[in-house]
Amino acid sequence: MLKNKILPLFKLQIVSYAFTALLLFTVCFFVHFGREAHSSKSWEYVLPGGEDLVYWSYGKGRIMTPRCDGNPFYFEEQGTRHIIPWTTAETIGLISKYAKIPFSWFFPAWHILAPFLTWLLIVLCCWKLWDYPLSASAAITYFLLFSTLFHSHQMIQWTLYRFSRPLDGIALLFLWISLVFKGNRNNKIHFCASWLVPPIVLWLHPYYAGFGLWFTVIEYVRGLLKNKNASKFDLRFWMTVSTFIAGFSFIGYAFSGENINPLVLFGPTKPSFGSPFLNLLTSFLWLAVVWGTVLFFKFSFREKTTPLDFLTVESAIFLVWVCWINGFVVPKTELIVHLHYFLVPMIFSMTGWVYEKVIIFKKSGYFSIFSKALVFLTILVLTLSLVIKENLIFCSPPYFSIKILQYFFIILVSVWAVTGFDFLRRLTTKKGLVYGLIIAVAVAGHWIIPLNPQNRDFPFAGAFQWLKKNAQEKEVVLTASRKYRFCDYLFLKTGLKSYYNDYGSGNVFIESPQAKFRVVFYTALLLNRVDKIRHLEALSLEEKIHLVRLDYVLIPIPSPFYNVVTRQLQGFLKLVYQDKKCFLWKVT
Amino acid sequence: MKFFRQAIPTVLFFLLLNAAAFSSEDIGKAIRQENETPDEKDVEPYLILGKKIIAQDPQSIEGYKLILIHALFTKNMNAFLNTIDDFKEQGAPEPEIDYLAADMLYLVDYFGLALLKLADFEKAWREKYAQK
Repeated sequence: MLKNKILPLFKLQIVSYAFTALLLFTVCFFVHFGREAHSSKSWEYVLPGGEDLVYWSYGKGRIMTPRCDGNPFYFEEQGTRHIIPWTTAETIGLISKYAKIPFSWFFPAWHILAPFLTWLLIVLCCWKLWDYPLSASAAITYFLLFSTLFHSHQMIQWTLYRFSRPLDGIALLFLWISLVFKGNRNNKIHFCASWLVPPIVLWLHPYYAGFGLWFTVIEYVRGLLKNKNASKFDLRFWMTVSTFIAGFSFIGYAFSGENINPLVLFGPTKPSFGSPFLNLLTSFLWLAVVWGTVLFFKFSFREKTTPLDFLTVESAIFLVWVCWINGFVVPKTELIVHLHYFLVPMIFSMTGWVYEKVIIFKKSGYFSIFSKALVFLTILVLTLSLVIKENLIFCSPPYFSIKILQYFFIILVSVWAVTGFDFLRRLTTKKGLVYGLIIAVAVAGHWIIPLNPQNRDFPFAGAFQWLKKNAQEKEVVLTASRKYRFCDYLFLKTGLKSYYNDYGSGNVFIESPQAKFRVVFYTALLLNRVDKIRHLEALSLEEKIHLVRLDYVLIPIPSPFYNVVTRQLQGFLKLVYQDKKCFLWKVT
Repeated sequence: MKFFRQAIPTVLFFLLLNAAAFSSEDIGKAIRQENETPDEKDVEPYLILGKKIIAQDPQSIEGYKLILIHALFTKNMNAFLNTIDDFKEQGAPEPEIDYLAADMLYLVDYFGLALLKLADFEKAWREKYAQK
C-alpha cells in the first residue's frame, strides 16, 4: 500500500511541499519550545506568555463541572462563560474530554498544525483561486508568515504563537476574501465553501467576520451596480446570507446562559495605541497612498481596475472606518487593540497588489523612472532615520496604518529588486537557495522570539505534583508572588483555583464585594497590613482569612514576601510541602 | 517682626520634617477625607522639603515619601508614577522605593496600581538580592 498508494502521492508537487512544510513547522516548534524547556527545566512549563495560559485555561475550564470558562481561575466564578465563545479553546477541551486525549497533548499539536494548516490553506488560495504559480505561492507565504516573527510590535511578533487567536482565523479569512473576489458560483466546491466559511469564521473569530462581511457586501453591491443583468444570487449573496444566519445563532448564544458581562468587549484602550486623531490621520494617509496609486494606473496607463485594487482600497477604507469608530463614535473600544489581527491578510493582498503594479511599470518603459524615484525615496527615508535617530522602517509606532506603510515600503523595495535585477531574479529560480533561505528565516525567526521570563527555573513544579496528589478538587491556593501574576500554571496543571491572579481579576470580575475583598486582602498581605484593613478592623484575622475561600499558601524561594506572609498568618499555616524552590502551607 | 518672619519658616520646616515621619495611615486617611483636590500651593511645602532632603541625602526614603505625598495630594496618578520613575533614574534606593509607592497607593485605595508596584518591587528585589 505504501509503495502503490502513498509514495506516488509525493510526486504531486503540493503533497511534497505540504510534507516539507509539516517537517519545517515541527522543527520550528522544537527550536523555540526546546529553548523554553531548557529555560524552565521542564517540558511542562513552556507556555510562551500569560495570554496563552488564559486561553488554554478556558479550554480546560470548558470541561470542568460546572463549566468555568468564563473565569476558570476563581472558585466563586464557576458556572460562567464568555459572551463571545473562545471556540477553538473550547473545542479542544471538548475533544480532549470525549476522545479521552490528555489535554496537554494539544499543546504541541496546536503549535505545529495551526501554522502549518494556515500556510497550506493560504498557498492553496494563492494557487487555485488567485492563479499564482504553486512554488511562488509556497515561498512567498513562508516569507510573509515568518516576517511577523521579526516584527518589533510584540502582538504582531506573536501572530504564529498566540493560542488561539488570530492564528485560528487567518487562513479562513483569506479563503473568505479569495472567494469574494475570485469565487465561481458554478463551482460546487466554491459554493459549499461560501456557505461554510463565513459561519466558521464568525464562531472562531468575530472580528474577522466583520472584516470578511465588509468585502462581501461591498463587492456584492458593486457587482450589481456594475452589471444590472448579473445574477442577484451569486456567491457573495449566499455568503452574506450564511453570515447573517450564523450571526443570529451567535446572538442566541450570547444572550443565553450564565454569561460574563459583555463589557469584556469594551475594556479600556491602552495609551500605547496613540491618539485617536493621529490614528485616523495615518489611516487616511494609507488610503491616500492606495487610492492615489490605483487612480494613477487607471488614468496614466489606461489599466483596468483589478480585484486586487478593490481589495486593497476597501481594506484601507475599512481601516479608516475602524479608526473613526474607535476614536470618535464609540471611544476606547477593543477594536483598535485588535487591529493587528488584520495585518496578515492585509500584507498578503498588498504583496500581490504591489507585484501587479511593478510588473505594469516593467512592461511600460517607465521602469527606470520608477526605479530612480524608489531609490530616491529609500535614500530619503534612510537619511531621515539617521537625522532623527529612529529607524523609520523597523520601528514600532503605535499607529497600525504606519505599520502597514512600513510593510508596504519593504514589500515594494523587495518586489522592485527582484523584478528589476536579472541576477536577483535568477537567484529566485535556484531551488536550493530558496529552500535554504526559507529554513534560515524560519529558524532565525523562531530563535529570536523572546523567552517567557516566568518559565525560567519554574519554582512550583514540585508543589503542583503534591497538590495533584493530595489537594481536594477546586481548593484555593494563594500564590504569594507578583512575579507569576500572569503565568502561574496553577489551574492549568492542577485544576485548583487561585486566590488572586491578574487575569482572574480582569475588568469584569472586580465588582462583587467578594472580588473587591480578594484584591484588598491579597495586597494587604504582601504589604504587611492584614491587621489594618479599612472597614474590617472589627473582624478577627481568622474571619478575614476565611471571608473568601483559602486553602493553601504557596511562595517561591527566595521571596521578599516570605517574612511578611509567615508573620501575619502565624498560627494558621501548616507546612505540607517544601523543596529548594518553594514552600506550600495548608491554611488551617 | 523680623524674628517672626524668620521663625515661621523654621517652625514650618520642622513640622514638615515631622510629617515625613508621620505614619502612612494618617496620610492615607487625610487624602481619602479630601473631597476636593487641594490647591497646589497647600501641598507645595511637601515637595520643597522633600527635594531639600533628597538634595542632602539621595538615599533618604523619607525625602521621597514627602514628594510622593505631594503627588498623591494633587491626585495626579500619572505624575505620581512618573515621579517614581524619575526617582529611580536619580538613584533612589531600589527596591524600597517601589514598596513605599505600593504602600501609599494601597492606603489611598488604588489597589490595582499598588499590585503593579509590588510586581516592580519583587522584580527589583530579585535583581538585587536573589540572582547574585
